[in-house]
Amino acid sequence: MTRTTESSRLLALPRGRHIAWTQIASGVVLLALCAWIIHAFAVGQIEWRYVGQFLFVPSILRGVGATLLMAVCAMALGMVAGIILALGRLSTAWLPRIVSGLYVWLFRGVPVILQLLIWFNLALIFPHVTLPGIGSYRTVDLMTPFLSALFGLGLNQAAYIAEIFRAGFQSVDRGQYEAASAIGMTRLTAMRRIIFPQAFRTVIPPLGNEFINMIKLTSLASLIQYPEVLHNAETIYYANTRVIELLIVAGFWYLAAVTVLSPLQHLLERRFSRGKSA
Amino acid sequence: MTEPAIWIRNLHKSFGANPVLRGVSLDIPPGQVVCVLGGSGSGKTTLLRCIAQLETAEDGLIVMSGELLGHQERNGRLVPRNARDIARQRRLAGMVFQRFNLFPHMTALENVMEGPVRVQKRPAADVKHEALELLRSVGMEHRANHYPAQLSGGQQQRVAIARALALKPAVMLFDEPTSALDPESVGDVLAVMQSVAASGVTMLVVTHELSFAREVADRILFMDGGVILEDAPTADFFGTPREERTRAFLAAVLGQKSTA
Repeated sequence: MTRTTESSRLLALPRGRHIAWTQIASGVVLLALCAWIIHAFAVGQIEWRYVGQFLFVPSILRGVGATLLMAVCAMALGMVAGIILALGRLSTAWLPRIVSGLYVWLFRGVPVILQLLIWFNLALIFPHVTLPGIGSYRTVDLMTPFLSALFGLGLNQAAYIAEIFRAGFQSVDRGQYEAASAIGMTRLTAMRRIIFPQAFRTVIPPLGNEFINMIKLTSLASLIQYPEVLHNAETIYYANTRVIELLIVAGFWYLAAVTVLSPLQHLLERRFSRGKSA
Repeated sequence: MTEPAIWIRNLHKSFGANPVLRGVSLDIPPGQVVCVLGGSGSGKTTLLRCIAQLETAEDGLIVMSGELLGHQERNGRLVPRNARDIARQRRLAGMVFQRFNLFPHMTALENVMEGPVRVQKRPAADVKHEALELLRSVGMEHRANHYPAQLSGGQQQRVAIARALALKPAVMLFDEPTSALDPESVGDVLAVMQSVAASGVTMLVVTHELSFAREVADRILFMDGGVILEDAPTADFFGTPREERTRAFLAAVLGQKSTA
């Protein structure tokens, strides 16, 4: 009896708030850390007016364009080759399975920078390239920095994208293949109409990740003279010695490109989530 | 004598070392409604999947609507057909799955239209009219623009039946179509199947619904251990089962029903 009256008394009490002291304390520490780093950059050997001055110079803007162009082209090559590899990996025939497996093993196992250098120096292995019906060319003339970077980055990316799509195709229920077969679809039509749209929605997040990676990977192409944004920033600081300022300029553009991409990925996810749930 | 809708001789199929079909032979005349009963592992689902060419039998022949399935005669021997030809042959029969297998990224209407438009290459406008008519016949017209995830199991299965019927198959195959449904939905789906049966389509139904079998089927097959153990007109099957194994099965299933 006394217990119920005691409990009823609690009913009348006002509710207080829980105060997250640990979060507040960590927040303060983090803020202080940030302030210190910003301060260091502000008073350090950085002439901020140079950053502003070089942010929009034509050479840097051309570099940004070249970076984005390479990222898009290499990603496109990687997607096409990657999807073909994934289909090969899941084939019922042994030859495409082995070829795809070997490709992924080789291209994932060798550093990208090394692959870029090999493509750039391909002339040392194949001095001449003969295209039937078109003519013979010196490899040195063919393997421009653009093509070398495209093959190096794109074909490396294909190995990773193949694995992403393999997982995507495998995530689609077996019953979907059977239902597609049962209404008389060929394997190709079933892939295109039924399996691919369902696989695609599971692979968009990892593909977005790969594209972001690709934008940053293009910086490696500066090593083989591809005039992307980091390469052009370096060219400028070799002349004027404003190293950190120009690195900040390049960093700004990479960040900007990646920032614009995230909402685009979100949009794609929405587009492909049709019928996902009520 | 009329050509049978389904003609099967000496069908053998095993999964690894495990034989599932051990010599099945069967004639089904056009328009007949046949229910296949049997315990799990008796081979009844595998038999259906072989007819649908979702499995390839190691031995034996299936002829449907006058076509030898999966093989053709060339220079005095039977050679496997190519993938395109097999895809075409799969349209001879409509298949309804235990787990519906609707395409989740398409609406009910798009699911029904997919086969006629993408496989038969018919104009979408004509097909749409027919598809809506089919959805009406399974009581799903009001959900035509819903995605499968927005439909109950029973509703999905009725759409799946409409999808199979859209290709106008001469034979309909049902693989335990009500086993994955909640009890309230079972009646709706069985009612739709009953109306399909009444339309004169040849039906082969793997099921555990004895009351449906008793009411709708012309003939019952009882499978056990990969063979057809008993094959009788419905009334005889339930009234005077010949085999001891059949009687035990019926007693077990009916006994379970009455205690439930």
